[in-house]
Amino acid sequence: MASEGNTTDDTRRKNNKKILLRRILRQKSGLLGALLILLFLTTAAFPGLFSNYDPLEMNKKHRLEAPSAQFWFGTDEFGRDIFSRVIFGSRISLFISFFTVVLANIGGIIMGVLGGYFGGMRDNVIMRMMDVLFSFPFILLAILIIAITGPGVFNVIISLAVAYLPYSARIARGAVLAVKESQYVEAAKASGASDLRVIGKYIMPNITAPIVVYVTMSFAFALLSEAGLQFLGLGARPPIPSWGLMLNETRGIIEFAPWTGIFPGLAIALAVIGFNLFGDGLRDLLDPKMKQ
Amino acid sequence: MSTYITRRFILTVFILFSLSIIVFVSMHAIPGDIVDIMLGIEATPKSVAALKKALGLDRPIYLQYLKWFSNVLQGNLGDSLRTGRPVMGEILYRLPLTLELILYSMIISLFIATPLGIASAIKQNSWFDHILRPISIVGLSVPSFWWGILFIILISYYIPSFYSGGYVSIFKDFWGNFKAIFPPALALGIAMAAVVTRFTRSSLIEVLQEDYIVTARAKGLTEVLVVGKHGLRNSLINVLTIIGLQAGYLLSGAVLVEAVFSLPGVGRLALDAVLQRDYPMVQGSILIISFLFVMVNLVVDLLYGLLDPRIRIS
Repeated sequence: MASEGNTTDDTRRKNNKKILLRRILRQKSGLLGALLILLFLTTAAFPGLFSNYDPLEMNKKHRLEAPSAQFWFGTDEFGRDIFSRVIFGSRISLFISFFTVVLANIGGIIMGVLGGYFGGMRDNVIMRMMDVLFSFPFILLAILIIAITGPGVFNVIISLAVAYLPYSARIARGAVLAVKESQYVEAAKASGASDLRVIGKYIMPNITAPIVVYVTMSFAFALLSEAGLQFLGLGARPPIPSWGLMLNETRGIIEFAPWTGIFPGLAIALAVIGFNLFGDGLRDLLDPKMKQ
Repeated sequence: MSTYITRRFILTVFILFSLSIIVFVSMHAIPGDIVDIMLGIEATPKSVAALKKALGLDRPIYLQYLKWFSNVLQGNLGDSLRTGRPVMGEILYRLPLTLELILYSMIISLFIATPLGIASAIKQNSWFDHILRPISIVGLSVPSFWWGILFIILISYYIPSFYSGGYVSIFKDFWGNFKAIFPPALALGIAMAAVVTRFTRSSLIEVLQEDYIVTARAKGLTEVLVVGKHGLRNSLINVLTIIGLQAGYLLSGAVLVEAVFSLPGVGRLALDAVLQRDYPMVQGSILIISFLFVMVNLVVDLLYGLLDPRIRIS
C-alpha cells in the first residue's frame, strides 16, 4: 500500500513538475526579463570580462570621440571609454538596488505582517506611521534624508529603503488580511498554536506569492530611483562609474556628443525592463487570477 | 458620507502635523550646527551664543517647534541662508512653473492613455492589445530624465526651431512657454501614461463583465452607448485614484526633469538647497511640496467617495 501510494505521488509530482516547466517556458517575456537580469548580474560580477579599458583611465588624446570600433560607445569628456564605464556601472546600481530592496522589504514585511495579524491598536499605529511616510513624494523623502546624512552610496540606500518601507508594508498587510480569516489559521489558533507559530507556519507560506512578485517589481523601482538620485548628484562621487552620475556629467555636452547621454540611459532602461518583465511573468505564473 | 469626510479630514490633519514634526526635527538632526554654517569661519563662541539667542535656538526644542509652527501657519518659513530672502516668497515665485509642468504632463498622459486603454480593453487579446503590453512596460521602465535627455538631443539635431532658450510665463509668450514646457512635460508624462493605460484597460475589462453591462447589451443598446455610458463612467472612478497616487510620482519626477531642462521650478529649488546646505530652504520647499501632495490626495479621496456610493458606506 505504502509503496503504491509513493509511486502515484511520485508520478504526480513529476507531472506537476512538467506542467510547471511548460508554464515557465510559455512565459516568453518573463524569460526575456530573466535573461536581461542575468546579463546585468554577469557584468556586475565580472566586469573585467567585458570591458577592454579601465573605466577610470583618462586619455587626453581621445576626448569626446564618437562610437567607433576602438571605443564601442564612444568616450566622455575625459577620454574615458563609455562602454567600460557602462559595464562597471552595473555594479553600483545593482548593489544599491539590492540593499534597498532587502532593507525596505524586511522592515516593511515585519510591520505589515504584525499590523495585519494583530490588528487593533498596533495595526493602527503602524499604518498611520506608514501613512505619514506615504505623504512625502518619495524622491523628496529621500532628498530630505540625504540633506541630513549628506550624499553617498550608503545614504542613498538608507533613504530609498525608508521611502519604500510603506509600500511593502501595505502589500504585506493586505496579503495577511486576505489569509488571516481562513479556516486553517482559525484551526491552528484553536489548537493552541502560539502567534509566532501561526505567523511562521501558516501565514508566511501563504503570502509568499504576492510578496515575491512585489519584491521583484520593487527592484525595478529601486533601480529607477537610484539612477534618479545619482543623476541629481546625491549618490556616488565622481569618478566612480554610475549610470545616473554619467548622465549627470553630460549636461552641457549632450548637444554635440549625444552618445555620452544615450548609452548609460539605455543601460538603466534595459535593467529596469528586465525586472519589470520578470516580475510580470512571475505574477502570471504564481497568481493566474491576476493575469487580467 | 459625513463620517467618511470627517474621518478623512482628521487623518489629513494628523498627517500634516506629523509631516511638520518630521521636517522640523530632521533639520535639527543635521550634522554640525546651523549657526556655525551661518557664521562660517568668523564664528567665535560669543557670536555663536549671540546668534543662537537671537534665533531662539537656546530654548527647549518643543518651544522652538511651537514658534516655528506658528510662523509656518502665518506663512513665514524663515529666510534663506544663501540669499537672506524669505523662503516663502522664493517658493511662491517658483511654484507656478512646477504646477504648470505637472498639469501639462497629466493632460498629456491622459490624452495618450485613455484612448489606448479603452481600445485595448474593447479589443482584448487582439494584436493591438498584445503589442500594447510590452510597449507599456517600456514606458514604465524608461526613466523620465533619460527621456528628457533624448528629447534634448532630438531637438538640437532634428528640430532646432523647437529649441527653448529658457522658461517664460504663458502670459508673456505662449509659444515660448510651450517650447519650454512641452518636452519636459512629455518626458514626465510618458511613465504615467503607461500606468494609466494599463489601469484603464484592466478596470474597463472588469466593469464590462458586470451584470449591468449584460443588461445594457440585452436591452439592445449600441456598443458605443454600452462602453461609453455604462462602462467608461464606472471604470473612470477607479482611474481617478491612480491619478492621485501619480501626483506624488509627478512631484518627484519634477525634481529630476527640472534638473535636466534647467527649469527654475520648486523641485530645482529643493535640490539646490540640499546641495548648498541652505536648510531653511530645504525645510520649506519639502514642507510645501508634501503639503500639496497630501491635499491632492485628500481631494481625490473625497471625489472618490462622492462618485462611488460604496465607499461612503464602508
